[in-house]
Amino acid sequence: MKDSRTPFISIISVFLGSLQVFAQTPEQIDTLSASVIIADDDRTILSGLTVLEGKALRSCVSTFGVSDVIKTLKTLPGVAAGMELTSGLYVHGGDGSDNLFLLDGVPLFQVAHLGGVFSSFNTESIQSLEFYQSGFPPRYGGRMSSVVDITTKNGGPQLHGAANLGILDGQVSVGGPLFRDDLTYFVSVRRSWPELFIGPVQSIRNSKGDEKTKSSYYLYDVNVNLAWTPGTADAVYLRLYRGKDVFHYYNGLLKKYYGKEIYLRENYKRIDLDWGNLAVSTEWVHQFSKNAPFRLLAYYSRGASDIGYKTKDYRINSEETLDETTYSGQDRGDVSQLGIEARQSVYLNHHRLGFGAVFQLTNYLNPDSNDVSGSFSIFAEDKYTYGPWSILAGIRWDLYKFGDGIFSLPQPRMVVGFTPGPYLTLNATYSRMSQFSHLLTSVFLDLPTNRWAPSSKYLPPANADQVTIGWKTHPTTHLSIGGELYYKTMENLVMYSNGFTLFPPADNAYGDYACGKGRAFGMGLEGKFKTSHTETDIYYTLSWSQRLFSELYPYWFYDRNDNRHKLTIKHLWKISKKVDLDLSWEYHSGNRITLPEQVLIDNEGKTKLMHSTPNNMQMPAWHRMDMGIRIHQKTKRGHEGTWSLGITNVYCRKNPLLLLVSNDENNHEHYFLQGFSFPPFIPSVSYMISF
Amino acid sequence: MMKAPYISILLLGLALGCESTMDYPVIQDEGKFYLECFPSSATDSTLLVLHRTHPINKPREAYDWNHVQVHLSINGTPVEWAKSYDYGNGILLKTPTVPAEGDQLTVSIQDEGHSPIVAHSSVPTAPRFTYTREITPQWDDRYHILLEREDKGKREYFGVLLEGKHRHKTVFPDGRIEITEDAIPNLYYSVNGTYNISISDETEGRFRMVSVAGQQMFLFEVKEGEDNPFILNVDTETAEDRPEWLHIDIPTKRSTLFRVTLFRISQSAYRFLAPKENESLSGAGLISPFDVQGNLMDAFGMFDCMGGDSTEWEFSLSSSSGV
Repeated sequence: MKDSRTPFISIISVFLGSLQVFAQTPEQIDTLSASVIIADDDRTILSGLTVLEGKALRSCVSTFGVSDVIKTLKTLPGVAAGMELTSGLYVHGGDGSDNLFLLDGVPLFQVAHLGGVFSSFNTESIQSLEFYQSGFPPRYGGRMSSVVDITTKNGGPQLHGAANLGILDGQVSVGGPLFRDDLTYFVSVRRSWPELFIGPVQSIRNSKGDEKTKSSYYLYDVNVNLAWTPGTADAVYLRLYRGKDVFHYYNGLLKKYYGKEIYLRENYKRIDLDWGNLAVSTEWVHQFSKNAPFRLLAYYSRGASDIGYKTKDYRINSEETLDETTYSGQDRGDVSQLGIEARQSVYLNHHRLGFGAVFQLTNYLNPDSNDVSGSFSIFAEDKYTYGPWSILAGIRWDLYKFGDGIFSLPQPRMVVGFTPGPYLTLNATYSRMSQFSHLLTSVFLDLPTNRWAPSSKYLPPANADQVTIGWKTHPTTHLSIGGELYYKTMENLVMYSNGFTLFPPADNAYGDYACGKGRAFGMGLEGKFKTSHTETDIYYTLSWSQRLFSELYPYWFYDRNDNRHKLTIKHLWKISKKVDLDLSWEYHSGNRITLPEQVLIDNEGKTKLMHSTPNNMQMPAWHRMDMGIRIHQKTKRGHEGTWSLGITNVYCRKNPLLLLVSNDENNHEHYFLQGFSFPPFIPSVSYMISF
Repeated sequence: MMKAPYISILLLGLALGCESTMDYPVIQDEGKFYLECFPSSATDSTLLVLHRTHPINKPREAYDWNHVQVHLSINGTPVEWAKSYDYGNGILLKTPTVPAEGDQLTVSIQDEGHSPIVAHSSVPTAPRFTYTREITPQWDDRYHILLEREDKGKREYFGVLLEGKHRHKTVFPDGRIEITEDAIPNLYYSVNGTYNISISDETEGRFRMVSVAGQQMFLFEVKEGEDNPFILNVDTETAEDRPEWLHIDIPTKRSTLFRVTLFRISQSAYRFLAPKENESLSGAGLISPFDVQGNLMDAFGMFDCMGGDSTEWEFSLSSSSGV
């Protein structure tokens, strides 16, 4: 499980092999940074918790040769896959904007690059990740479906680093002591270069004719961590994360205008977009005693997008001279948060007490609005163990204010664990989660045009109540089997209800958005079989997800991510000490979409396509196989080098990403569907060297 | 403005990948009725438009409307329809009977071999408003409608119908006066004053112009907590209102009558009607199923009463007086 060479996801779940961890006392913890993790460690009794180590994340089968946090999490049971190659995370019927992404405790608002094709997290900078689908500890709040708590690397006592060069991107990271032993640094930079491929293709196309199209895109991430440990009881961290996408598009057409003279001018349209995240934080960890670690975190987090557009046209006027028409605009969206959090843990015999407080001030800046909301939260929890029983009970209480609306949001949480024998563990959880930021989006893509808006009395905070029952058995040392049943209800979900636009109106959130309910239930199963040369993971999900938006439709209807079955099979074969081969096959029932089912030709002869139920059609089942080979070698200088060769979509399955209704050119009353899918059979190659 | 490049980029990316076509799945075997009927106390008549849809994966077939029976009752009393028009694929029924505030209406549609479609609705209270009038320095006629809200804490939905007609008043030498009126066939109006009548309020983009029973109507919502009274401005240009002459000694004065009718509509009617303004890409699978298909079981469309009240005014260059 903790084998660092494993290329697959390592999952530490309820009780499994965790009795050793559970038996740990704070005295056994070596470092202060570890104490923060282990002291707050709930993995011993929490169900729905997945822990991934950074090395496991980086060795997962990747798309375009880029390993990705969210795409890895999407394969887990209980998580719907969403749209292919995008980074939406739909947990237990959630809608993708209800996941709390924490980077070293700092909430992030924009977690995707390139419309969701890549997530914002550079796996090379990740030390470990905790992913909660249920049994949320009270210290987490602000989102209602899941928590992705990412811990990035610190420098460590020795100089180390890695560099990775792929077809589409590359990254370099380095860490170690800075001038003195108690001060360390870690820096990681990732940048993509798809423009290297797009540019020559466009140059060839632009060499013919008067029309010229230029576009470029790149993304980058930078993580900088400084750690200072002035003594055995204190540690201070300073962290910076910056991620950005930049996109430019230009389309020009050179035209002649015949007036008093012949004018040669270029009409053009251009779009300039950039969007991304900035997170800056400082953290102080102090041990008042061996049994009482304390943590103080202050941060600033900002997600912003800036969209500029400009067009220029010419026209001959009545005086036969040239008129120029310029149209330009700018659309900015910005959400920023200042937060401070204090957390204290105390260990007393069978009890592990934890309590703390969080204050957050959030500014939502949109083209037509500038809103500020504030929240104050306190939480307290106690983990009590006695014999085979473990109980974690706690409550989080959020006091949220926006405008003249004040909301009191108590959120009780409880986890009960029972271990009747060494091969079986059982657990049950209940949790209530509240969310007071809403992502306003009109399309199912992670676009920079999406906007965050605060909860208000018109768009009240969303709540989710969830109960789960989980179990885990490991009948042999090679085999472990586990599962979880869940039932979840959600209220005050938001759905855009006013036609197609890429710029959802953040200033009219309560006019153009409908509030609704959701319910989801199902079962997730997982099995793992491990030998000395192979590892096989199988994840299966049986699920239902439904929505009720009475303003739009009076009955419950299926959510678009209502995938009845989802199956993931991963297999690793360590062919030799130098070569690993891994295969991954994923399958899920098709997503649901709303398709017209009837044609109306009205009294004016206009055609209108009608549907009777939202999300009335299921797309074809989605399945894909990916393959990767890693070849390890030592360089002349003794560094470890790894060639990674991968193929995405080995058997060229055309999984429709979306369907468009079309009609025959010759027979307008004959309708058919056009399916669009990503390119099949995507090869990738990358080389990594680490020292 | 931004939509086309975005979609182009998206589709270009996808086109570089794979495109495939597939037959339409069979979702429904038979066509359905499509009904639109919004009875109101502020109209001259009640109209009902009834169409028949056909399954998207089947060819359209002629439909025999003689078998279809449409019944309307007000407080249990049947109302006689007259078929006003037959579109071939649909019919327009009309009755001069209009309901009053609080009336209960029921409509039923029966066809051979199908279970009847029944819908109920009651006439809501009419919106209350007052008005003032102003002749602007540009000689435009500005009409302020002050909407009085019933419950400021509740979101309300309204529709505005603007109608106009020309009135010709001829005074003959013997003192006889003849007045004729004809409806203005193309009363162009907009929300930004481009045409000869415009409508506005303090919030840009509030109005949605849709076609309701063949007439252009502005829909708008008034949010919870919005200031009271809500002011609606109706501006009319008067350049067209100039005297005409039947004979050099017989002047005919032409004036224009405007009628503004304010309707209170339900939230479901608003949700049904408002997206009509912006229908696109509904099948793309990229967007929410926003397009509300009505409030009828086993049929498309909407049967929903509107409470309405109206006011009229007459405008001419030489004299102006509200009616």
